[in-house]
Amino acid sequence: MSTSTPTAHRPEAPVPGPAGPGRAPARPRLSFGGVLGSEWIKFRSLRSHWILLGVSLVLTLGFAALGAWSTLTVIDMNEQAARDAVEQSLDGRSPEELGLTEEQVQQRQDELVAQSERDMAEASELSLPDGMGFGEYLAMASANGGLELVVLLVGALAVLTIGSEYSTGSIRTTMTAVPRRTPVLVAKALVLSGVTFLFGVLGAFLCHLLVQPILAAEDLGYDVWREAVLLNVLAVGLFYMITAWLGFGLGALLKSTVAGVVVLVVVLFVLRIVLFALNFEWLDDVKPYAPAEAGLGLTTMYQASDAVLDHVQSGLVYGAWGLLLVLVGVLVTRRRAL
Amino acid sequence: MIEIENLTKTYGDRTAVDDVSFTVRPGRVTGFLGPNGAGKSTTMRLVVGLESATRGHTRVNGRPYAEHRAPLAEVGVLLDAKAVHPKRTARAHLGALAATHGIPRSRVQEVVDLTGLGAAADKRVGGYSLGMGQRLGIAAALLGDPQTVILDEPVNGLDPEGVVWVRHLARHLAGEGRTVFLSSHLMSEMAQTADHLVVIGRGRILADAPIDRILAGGRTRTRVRTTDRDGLRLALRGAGAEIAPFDADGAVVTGPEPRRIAEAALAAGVLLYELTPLTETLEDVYMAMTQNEVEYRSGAGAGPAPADPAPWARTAAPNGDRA
Repeated sequence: MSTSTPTAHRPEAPVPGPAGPGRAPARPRLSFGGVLGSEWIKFRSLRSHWILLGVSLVLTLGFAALGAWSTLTVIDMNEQAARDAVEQSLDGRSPEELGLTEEQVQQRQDELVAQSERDMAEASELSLPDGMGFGEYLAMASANGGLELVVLLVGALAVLTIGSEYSTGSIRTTMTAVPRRTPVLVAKALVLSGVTFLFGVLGAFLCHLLVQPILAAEDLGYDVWREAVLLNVLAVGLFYMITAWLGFGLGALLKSTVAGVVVLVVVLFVLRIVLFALNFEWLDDVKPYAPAEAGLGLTTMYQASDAVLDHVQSGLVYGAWGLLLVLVGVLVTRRRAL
Repeated sequence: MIEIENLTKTYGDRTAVDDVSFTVRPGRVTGFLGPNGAGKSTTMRLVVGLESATRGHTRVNGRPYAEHRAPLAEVGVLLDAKAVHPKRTARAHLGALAATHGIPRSRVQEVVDLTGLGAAADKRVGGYSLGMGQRLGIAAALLGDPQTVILDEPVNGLDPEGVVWVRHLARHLAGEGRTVFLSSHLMSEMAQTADHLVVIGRGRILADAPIDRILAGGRTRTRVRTTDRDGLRLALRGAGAEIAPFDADGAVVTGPEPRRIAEAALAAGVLLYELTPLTETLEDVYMAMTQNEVEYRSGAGAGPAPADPAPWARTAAPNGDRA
């Protein structure tokens, strides 16, 4: 019989546990907490998820460093221009000949730099706080240099978590264990929310720390604990989290990682370019409500002085888009044949 | 216990499952037999709610599957062993499933041991052979220690040892009073495992009876050769025999036992020079039953001669023997 086979199941073996009542310590019971734990196990047990997050982190930090260096260049050019202007006004004479002290020359140069920064700030139409130079703004904003690229990777991660369930067929196992289906999607969305929010906050804060030594070369370092920075770090976390909702909703709707990522790119990039190209005045009040614009409105350090939506409103609009897509994904998934 | 009532599933104008009713009872192995495409998998998918029925109901252990508080503890299902992420280890896959129901980790180890996954449990599923994948599917089905087990083509891809193992497992589970429902398109496999058979063809139930009754239901057929076919026909009148002539001197007699034929021939002075019992195997019965029901028939021979509608072959009445 089967006794010689190492894997064989012998009929007399005490196999699958309690057929009768009351032996098991706790009866198994499907619970939302359990489903949440299950989705967390599923998220962390795939190496590809961690690779994607790792690559995203490297890109985030890399782009922040690049942003910081290009800020240095801008500032450098600005100061060079001011020095040239002072040189020119001296017209080859030494300051002493004109009865000027070194301090006065330096002061003139600083004034020119400040003037140019004010001009740039004005041209940017940003509502910077009083007393903040444009260089300082550039320095702070440089930390978010990789935001628009990395958000796509984060979105793709979200699409992947549900798209791969369909491509591998594991969705059938998953939904057989949780036949109501909705808890699975909600749990998945929550796990993704936690991961992407933490990733965003951690990544953004690390970026602010990383750019300090680079910016110090031009004395452009800033306090990473100031409110504007901390709020922005929070905003980046929310931005990633809501983008994950968008990606997750699209993935659930389209049952495919590739299709989901393509549509996500369309929503976040193409749509924005199209809207930008459509230069109708009546559109100006509508554009900020588009997903990509709202996302940008949430994460920008300082908003344009004529912004239709402030940070919080932008965040709410973006969040509403994300929730809408998750909702559509849930409703469609509940009905479909798997 | 699985109860299926008037279950119908249509895809466009194709009817995959056509007004099917039957009950799978606990304490025995019920085989679900039919050619590929007959509606076996669709029926099983409908039971666990992966698809919704066009009409009709299914209940498992007294309730629709989705209404159970612990579906995995009620019903263990293996529908498709490939329904696993290939980059996950078997342990992570089972662990994630167990977590949904708060099933302890120790139980994961139990089913790993039980199904002989052993050390492979910590390897990624993508590298598994078909047989190992099948074992993992069975491990997942047993995870919740369910009262009812549904296995779709469980021996698919298993080596002979694995086939024997599944057979033992099914019998053992039924022996513990559980409901065991196995599908297969292989008659021989079912003949060795099942106590009861539900035969499906083109979405309709062709038979629902204990396996020995299905075998007994096939009527005795005997090949005879004689110089006087008409004389034999006369001699067998009143014996409930049907006589199908072939060649110049041959006939297949359906109905009476060979001995009874010989006695009648002797009494009537008819010479028989061949008297060969045609044994009806389960395979023959199955082929006869399903030959009109195979969706994609191979061009080759249509199998043995079609038997008359046997007493167990149901025409319409759903499950007349239900208590």
